[in-house]
Amino acid sequence: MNYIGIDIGSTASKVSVFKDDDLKLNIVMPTGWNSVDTSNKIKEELVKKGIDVEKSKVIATGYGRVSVPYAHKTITEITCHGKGAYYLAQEDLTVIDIGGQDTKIITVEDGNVSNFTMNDKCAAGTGRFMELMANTLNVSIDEMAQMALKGRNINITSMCTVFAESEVISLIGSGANREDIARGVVNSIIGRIKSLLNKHGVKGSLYLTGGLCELEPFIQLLSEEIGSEVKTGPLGRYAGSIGGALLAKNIEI
Amino acid sequence: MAKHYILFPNYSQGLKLESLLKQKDIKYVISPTPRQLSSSCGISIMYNKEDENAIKNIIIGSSVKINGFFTID
Amino acid sequence: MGDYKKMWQDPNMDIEKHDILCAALPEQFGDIYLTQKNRPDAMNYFNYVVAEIHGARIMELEKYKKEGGSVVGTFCVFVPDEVILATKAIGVGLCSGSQFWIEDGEKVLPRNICPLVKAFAGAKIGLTCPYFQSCDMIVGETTCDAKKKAWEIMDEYMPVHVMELPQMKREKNIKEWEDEIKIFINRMEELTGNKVTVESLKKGIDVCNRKRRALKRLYDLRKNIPSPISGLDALLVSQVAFSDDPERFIEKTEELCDELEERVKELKPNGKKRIMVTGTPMALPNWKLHSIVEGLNAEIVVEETCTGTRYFENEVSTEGDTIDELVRNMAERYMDINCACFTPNEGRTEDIVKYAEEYNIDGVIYYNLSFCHTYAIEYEKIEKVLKEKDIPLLKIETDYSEEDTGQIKTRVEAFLEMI
Repeated sequence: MNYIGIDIGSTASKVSVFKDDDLKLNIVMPTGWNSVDTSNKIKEELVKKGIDVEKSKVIATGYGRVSVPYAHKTITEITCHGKGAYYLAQEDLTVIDIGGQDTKIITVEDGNVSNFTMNDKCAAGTGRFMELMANTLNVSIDEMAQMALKGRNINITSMCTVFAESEVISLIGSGANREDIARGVVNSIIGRIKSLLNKHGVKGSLYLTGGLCELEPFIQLLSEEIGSEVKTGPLGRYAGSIGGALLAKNIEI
Repeated sequence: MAKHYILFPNYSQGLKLESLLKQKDIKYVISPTPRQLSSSCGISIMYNKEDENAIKNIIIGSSVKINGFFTID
Repeated sequence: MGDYKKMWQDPNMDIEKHDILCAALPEQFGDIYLTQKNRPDAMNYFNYVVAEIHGARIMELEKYKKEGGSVVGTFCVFVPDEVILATKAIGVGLCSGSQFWIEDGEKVLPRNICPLVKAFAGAKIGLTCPYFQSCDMIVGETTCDAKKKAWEIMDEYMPVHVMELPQMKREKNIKEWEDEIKIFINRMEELTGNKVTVESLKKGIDVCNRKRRALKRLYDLRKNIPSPISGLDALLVSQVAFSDDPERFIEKTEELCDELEERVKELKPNGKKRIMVTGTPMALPNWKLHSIVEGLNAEIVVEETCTGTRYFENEVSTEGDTIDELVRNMAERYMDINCACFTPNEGRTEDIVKYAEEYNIDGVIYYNLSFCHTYAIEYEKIEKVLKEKDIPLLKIETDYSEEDTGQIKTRVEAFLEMI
């Protein structure tokens, strides 16, 4: 039997497939304008790879979770990320999930979510913030993180994404070193995450999920600034869909 | 799903019909009057289509004044 | 249905603007309330009150005023209704629960204060609330800085009487509140021309106590598993309590409770998570959190809020043969309300823990209107105690706008998955 987790995020959609106990397949694609179109595309993609969606158990998660017509159940990304991260780390942990539109801190105890905190309706500290700032600097997110590693911090004082953007533009205008600005941008996100972590409290090791999990320089800076190692892995991006697939095992259809 | 309403010239007529419906054990729901039916505020009575004739008979045999029966699809 | 436009002209309303509000209500109420399955029949009365909220009730007020009676508006569970009743005046809780009034409120108030305060100011200055327009006077209190300073602005538009609520609970403070009640009695006597007597005050106390008892009975019924009434419906009853005629309200609430008692015999467990809401008040028509929570697999079974337990818990003793004694009884009862305006306010934590057990709660949602500092700060204390007791807690800070409903839904849903 196949178990499928589909995580329709605000920016990217992730799919994970388990055959019995084995993680067989992960797919990522942009969410685009229409979540229903995206979920149909996912279905086509899965069929192409020889997975019979009709005969599988499917859980949808993420902000577009209600737009997956063939899902048997929806579960929030918070529960799914907790489950998925626990599967990847194989230990109790505190998950930092940096998503496209929000950032969450999730405590996992005995394999289950025991507490969570989300940032308030604001793009500060999210993946979208990172993306917007990289655009403003005219580089990719990967390049910006690389640059940040070489730069010295310039304080970005604005918490608000819109104001931060104009701050970055005027820094560019004033001839500031681009590496330093990049470092300032990355530090601003990390600062936001740190304050969420402080409020929430940390239990066990820290684990990063979401689209930034393969961004080596970012993880390095994040660990440095927080003062303890942040673990992650190439599958961290799929934590939500993996968690969804694992939870699909328990549902009855 | 279609919804059926009775509208009244004023709320006291609505309350009069309400007490008659209660006496006769006919199910109804008091509802704010939908805007599609009237720009005046206040109550209307939502009823089940199958009770329509029974309600009409009650009204005929009473002094209750109504503005009519209406249906919204 | 009735054509009220003429009636609204008398109290000087902005009829065109008010109509926008009237137009939105049937759909909002229909979507949130009338789509609920298997509602108690006795909720029809409360549907009626909402449908006629700016109609029949206003007509009653206008009629009473034509006959020489007075109407006063209030905002808070600390204003002693007993005094209002003893001077034969009608007291009504005022409009402050809709986003509709925020824009007008922000014309005279800073944006970063609580939506409730902005809404009532907006309702008055925009001339879009017939209750305000019907009031001869409004009665304010000093429960928070935003209200305290807003009265000065309101005073430019209509007569305002402000009661100074002490913010500690020492004997000296209870005496201060006694004084405030006496000053309020004088002001009400002046306004209405009716003297407060021992007899009339005892009668006022009796009505208020019976109203409290009716609400308490309703809440006790919600302790059943499952609750025989949705949180949305119970909230509506609490909200209506503030503006309806007290005797009629008592009668209709008791009728509702009779029906619920019958229901309890037949209900079977429904597997829904049982939620307590604690925090700031939900004035009409603020049904935002309840409709999100009950749209998921959960039911709200108690509100430790001003539109909940704080309104009806504890009665005023009628022991005593002088006005002084009765005023003392009232001061004691009111100063026993556990509002976050007090420091310290341990009673509230105790209440929450007690209710969690009595109502068999699976989780607590801390509802905080944006910029309500006293409740926002008190969260820390509550969180600590609930953690010790292993009671799951979720904080939701929000205003009346709809833009964050998606986010709140995700949080509540995750919370329900967790507990």
